[in-house]
Parts: sequence; C-alpha cells; structure tokens
Amino acid sequence: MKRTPLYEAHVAHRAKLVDFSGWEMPLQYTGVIDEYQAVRSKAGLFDVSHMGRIAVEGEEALAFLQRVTTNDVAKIEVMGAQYSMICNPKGGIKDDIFLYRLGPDKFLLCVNAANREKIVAWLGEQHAKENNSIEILDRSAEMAQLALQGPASKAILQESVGLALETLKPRGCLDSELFGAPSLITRTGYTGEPGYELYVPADKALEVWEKLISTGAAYGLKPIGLGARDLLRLDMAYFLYGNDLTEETTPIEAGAEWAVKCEKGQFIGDTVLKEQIQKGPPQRLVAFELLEKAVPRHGMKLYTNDHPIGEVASGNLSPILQKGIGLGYVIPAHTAIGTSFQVDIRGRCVSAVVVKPPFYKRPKK
Amino acid sequence: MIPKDLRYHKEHEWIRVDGQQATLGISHFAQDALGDVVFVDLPKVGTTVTSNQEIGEVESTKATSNIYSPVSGKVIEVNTTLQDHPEYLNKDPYGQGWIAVVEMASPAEMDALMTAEQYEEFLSSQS
Repeated sequence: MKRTPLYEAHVAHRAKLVDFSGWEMPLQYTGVIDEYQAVRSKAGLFDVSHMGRIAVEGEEALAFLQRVTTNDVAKIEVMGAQYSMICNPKGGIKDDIFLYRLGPDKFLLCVNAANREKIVAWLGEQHAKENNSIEILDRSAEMAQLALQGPASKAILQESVGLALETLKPRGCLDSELFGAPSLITRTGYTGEPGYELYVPADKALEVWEKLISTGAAYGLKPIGLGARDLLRLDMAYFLYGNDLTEETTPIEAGAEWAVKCEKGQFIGDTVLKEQIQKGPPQRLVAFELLEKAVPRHGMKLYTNDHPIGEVASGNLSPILQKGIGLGYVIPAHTAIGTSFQVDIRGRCVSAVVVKPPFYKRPKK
Repeated sequence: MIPKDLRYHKEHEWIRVDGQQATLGISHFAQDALGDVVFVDLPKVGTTVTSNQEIGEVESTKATSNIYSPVSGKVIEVNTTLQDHPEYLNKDPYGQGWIAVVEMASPAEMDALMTAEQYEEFLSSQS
C-alpha cells in the first residue's frame, strides 16, 4: 500500500489505518464521532495527501481545461478556485475536481485518489490530440495536502502563519510560509465548516503537521480520520466519487447543473449534458432523511408502493442530526422536495422523505 | 478485555449465565472492530430464538453487523437504554452495553460456546 508523507504522524497519533484506494490512510484516531464533533465544534486536521495534484500550465492551458472540464474555467480569478467535473464523451463523470488558478496560465487540479492515474492518462490523451504547448505534470508526490477545518481553523492558521486571513475569501488561494515551508493555502474544504487546505512540500509535511497540532491544541484541534470526513461531507450532501458519482452517472443526474456551463463552448460530454438539461435526465440524485431511526447504506433499494424507483448512493446516521440521511438516485417522478418513499433496510421498509440539501446548516452566530 | 466468567460465540457475542438466564452482548473485540456504534436494533421481548439466529443489528459509523443469539430460548428482557445510548456498546461492552436476556431452553448449549481462554486463542488465530 502507498503511504503519504504523514504516515509516521498517523502511527504516532495511534490511528487505525485502512486501505483507501490503495493508500494506507487513517480511518480514525480517537473515534469517528469524537473527531466529527471536534470538527463541528472546534477544529480538525486531516491528511488528504492521497488525493492527486496535477499541474496544467502554458499559454493554452485555459482553452484546454475548458474542453476537458464542465464548469467555466474563465470565471476563475487568478488565486481563485472552482469545483468542476471531468466527463467522458457520454457525459459520464470521470472525476469531480477542484481547479485552482495560480496564474493566468497556471492551474492546479485536485483530483480523487482513486482517479489520479486515470485522469493523468486522460488529460495526456486529450492533449495528444491537440497541437499546443501546454504541460501536464503529476505533482502529487512533491506535495502533501492537509485540511484544517472547523470554527477555530482561522484562529489556528492565523497564529501559525502570523498573518491576518481576513482577505482570503471562500475559494481564495494564498502563497505563504507555514512554519518556514513555502505553502499554498486555499480556503476550501469538504466538511461544511469554515476551513482551509494546505499544500506543503512533501519533505516539510511532518513538521508542519506536528506544529499545527501543537499550535492548535489550545483551540481543541484534533487529527481527523476518513471515517469522520465521510460523515461530515454527507451532512452537507457533498459527493463522494465512487458512491454518488461514477462514469455511468452525469453531472445533471447528480444535480450538479451549477457546475456545467454549456454556454462556454464545446467540451467533452456536452452533447449528452445539453440534451439532459433540455429533456430532463433519466434519474436524479436526491437527498433524503429517514422518518424513523435507522441507517441507510450504499446499494439499498428505494421503493414506492412496492415499485422500485432507485437506489441509495450514500447513507449514514448523522451524529449531529441523529437521523438516518442519504443520497439516492431515483426516477424523475420522485425527486420533488417532500416526496416520500421507502428504503429497504434488509427487508424492513423504512419511510424517507426528500429534503433540500444540505442536511446540516451551521448555526448562525 | 476478555472477562473470564463469560462464554463466547464465534460471531463475537458473549453470554453471562445466571441459572436459566443468559445475558448477551458483543465482545470488546467486536465493538473495537465496528467502531463507534450509532444505532442498535434490539430484538423484541417475547421472541423465541434458536442458537446462532440473528436477533438484531448493530450499526456503526462504518458498517452494519448482525447480533446472533448464542443460545436458544425466549427473549425476556432487552436493554432499551441502548436506544438513547448506543455508545454503551463501545464504552462498556460487558456491562452497560448488554443487549438482551434470554431464558434458555437448553442450557447444555453453553458447552458449545468458547471459554475466555478459547476465545482468546480464536481471536489470535484469526489475526
């Protein structure tokens, strides 16, 4: 199994390690719920170095990325970021990504761990069809990627970098030094809490991790594993590739029309996506809550009056809501907010209702 | 983590026998493997069960796991406090985390269950 530059820190913090897409990653340290609560109430530090980091640079980088992603790359300001998708010619999702614009012609793509090699190859293939001078470089191994998330994350990071972070807007990027290590700080995350992602040189990662942990101790910062990460993202109805998104589902089916900008010009998959926008997709991902306490899981079938209407993509019990929540693909007649259906939980039919995501809304101060 | 006075089932349930009554729960090993328990689907009082039968479910943040009855008989009591405190299964699997009490139909079935020493050996043979 592959290990991130922070592997030693996980062992030192007594993590329970699991195989995640071929990476030996921390599932939990003290406990999934405890870590989840730390992120919702204070702050948490995640190792997300297993994700892929691909640089796309050169004069024609913008035009190239317009053709291979669904969102409008021209809308990203320099030192800004955008959520987007890479589709196959049928509109199926090859990956969901974050696109950082670090200069007018300089982009960094953050891709899912399981898709990294596939995406590097796909971009190379698309590039080979064009006669341009862009450079595509898999920089994953050079950098570690940490996520610092939670209401106290700003105070912790300000103390760590010795800078006021007031000017760093959501999805903004900042080149800075973090304990002496040249780092890219971005105001992004996957938890629904205020937070940052930190791209640091691989050989400085352990030092940065430990210093963040000790700086953050006074604020209640804890290391957080993948178990809590999954619960945190599901509260927000954020997608998990492999569960909610696959090569067989489209961004329109997933309800991510907002990340598909057909007016920008042609891009891979656009024909199918335009048609689905006009005619409606054959299935749609909905967010649902269970009306009694039970836990929906990936693959469970959805019914109305004994008629199959779809399947659960992601599900769990939200620790903060104390409700079973899930995302599921259903046929179009059952997607309206307030629609009810049943989840077959190992032979027991549990009633569910379609709700407007996110499931969890941060209390306003 | 493996109390000497209990008997153990291969699916990682334990029983504590008092006369005809067997209290059952899941072992420390089982709760540790499951991770944080978020929901327990308890058997119903009055249900007749046979040994090795599924009588309920434990849901953790990671997965679902069946609860098997190590013995045959009738469920005479269930730990309803687990509905509000599923975490007892993690914190105190042999105490506050007990799941149900079965009035045993054939106490001789107990002999088929593992002793603490046998269970310890069983666990090390599995890892």
